[in-house]
Amino acid sequence: MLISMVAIIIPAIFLELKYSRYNPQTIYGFYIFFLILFGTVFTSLFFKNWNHTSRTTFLLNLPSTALEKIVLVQFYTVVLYIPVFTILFCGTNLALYEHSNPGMSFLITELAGKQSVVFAFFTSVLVPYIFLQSFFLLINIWIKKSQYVIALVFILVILLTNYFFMFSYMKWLTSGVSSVAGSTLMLFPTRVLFIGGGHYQEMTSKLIFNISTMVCLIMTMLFYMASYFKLKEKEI
Amino acid sequence: MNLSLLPGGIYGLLGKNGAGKTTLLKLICGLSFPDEGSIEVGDYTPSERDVNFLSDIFFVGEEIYIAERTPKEMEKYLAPFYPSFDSVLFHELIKKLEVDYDEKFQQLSYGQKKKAMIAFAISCKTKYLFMDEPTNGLDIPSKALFRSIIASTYDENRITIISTHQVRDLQSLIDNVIILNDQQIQFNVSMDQVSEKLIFGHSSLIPEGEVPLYVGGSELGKSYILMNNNNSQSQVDLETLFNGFISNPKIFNQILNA
Repeated sequence: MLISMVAIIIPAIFLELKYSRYNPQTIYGFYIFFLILFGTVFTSLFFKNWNHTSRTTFLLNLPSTALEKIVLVQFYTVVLYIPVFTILFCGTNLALYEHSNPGMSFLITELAGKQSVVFAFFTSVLVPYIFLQSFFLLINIWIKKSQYVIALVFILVILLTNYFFMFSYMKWLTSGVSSVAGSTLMLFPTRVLFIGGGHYQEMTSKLIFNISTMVCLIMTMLFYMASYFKLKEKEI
Repeated sequence: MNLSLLPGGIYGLLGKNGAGKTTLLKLICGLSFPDEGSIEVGDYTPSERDVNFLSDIFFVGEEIYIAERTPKEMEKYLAPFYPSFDSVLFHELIKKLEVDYDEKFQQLSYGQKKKAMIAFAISCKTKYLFMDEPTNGLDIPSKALFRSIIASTYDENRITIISTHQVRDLQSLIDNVIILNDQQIQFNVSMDQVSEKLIFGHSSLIPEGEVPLYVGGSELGKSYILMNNNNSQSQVDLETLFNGFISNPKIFNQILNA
């Protein structure tokens, strides 16, 4: 698994190098995008293909509780995966940027700002990751096949809903908003760029960030609970 | 559907395609849940999938899935889940079944994988052992070995249910026969009861003066079932018994449950 991860991450880093132009925010974008992409794929591998009766029989009849099975998946896909991915990502960055732009700097400078690194990591890495990972976990346990595609469609719908919510919110706060920048497609925007009065404007909203962080944390808990009950009630 | 099974029994679960044999086994193992009614296995309700219950059962399905790479890994990673696992027995069985302990499953045939799984299942020494078509994919010598292994590892505390279409594979192995028909258990008797009340014969000529309960087979050789009125001894022919029962369940139930 580690070898496959390295094999996928290194080309991703090169892609990032080509387009990031050493911009910490873009590096963070690449980091979070690939963290979630590989993490959700990794999560999906544990509960793939429920139609495979013998595999399902093995999984359900293994003498452990549904909770233990989910905790084991979480151990691999969260506790172990995030540090391994981060070390690989930052290590590769460090090696490629040499000394001019250390790999970890994007987390510290871009995310933390005036806050602590731990808080920045929690709100900008862990919360978005576990929110989407828990959703993929639920879809993978609930649905029998093509789970990844179904989950992606759901995510797309959530992102678009989020965009329209942000657009309406901006329009309500200001006047004459004609367009909101694509960055608001993210679930945790700390600032929103929009075109108003014929030029770009920026709005920083702690309220939006805090509300969406809380909502995502609550949703994550609900997704994990639903995953547990769905696995407990899973039948062949 | 009512079914009570006693420890120490080796039950043969027979039925036509679609009769519900696999479904019944899945219900007993907690892999499926009943729409109505309840199932109890010992002190457990299978649908709750209690860990103690899961470590007390082993289900060998018709299709098998082995996550580990070799029998050695299988023992290393799966055996700890089964507290009564007997490592010596596992080594002995896989040797008997001619499966290499260190060979990768990828390189083994379906039959070889199945033999490894059967060896592992028996070595777990669980209270309940369920097998769905265990002899499918086994060659002729392995089928004989399978019967011999099940008989030699008999445990008076274990309930073994073997479901199969290939009734000849269970000949002289089971001590109880359960027949499922139209998704109902229509027959659940011991082999002793069967041999006490019925006589099985193979001949083109049925003994004079006897009215057979069932006659089957082809012109080349007929099989028949007679009432055992003289306390005679004959070996139970499971295939003939099954065919006879399917052709007239009422009469066989009347005779055997009288």
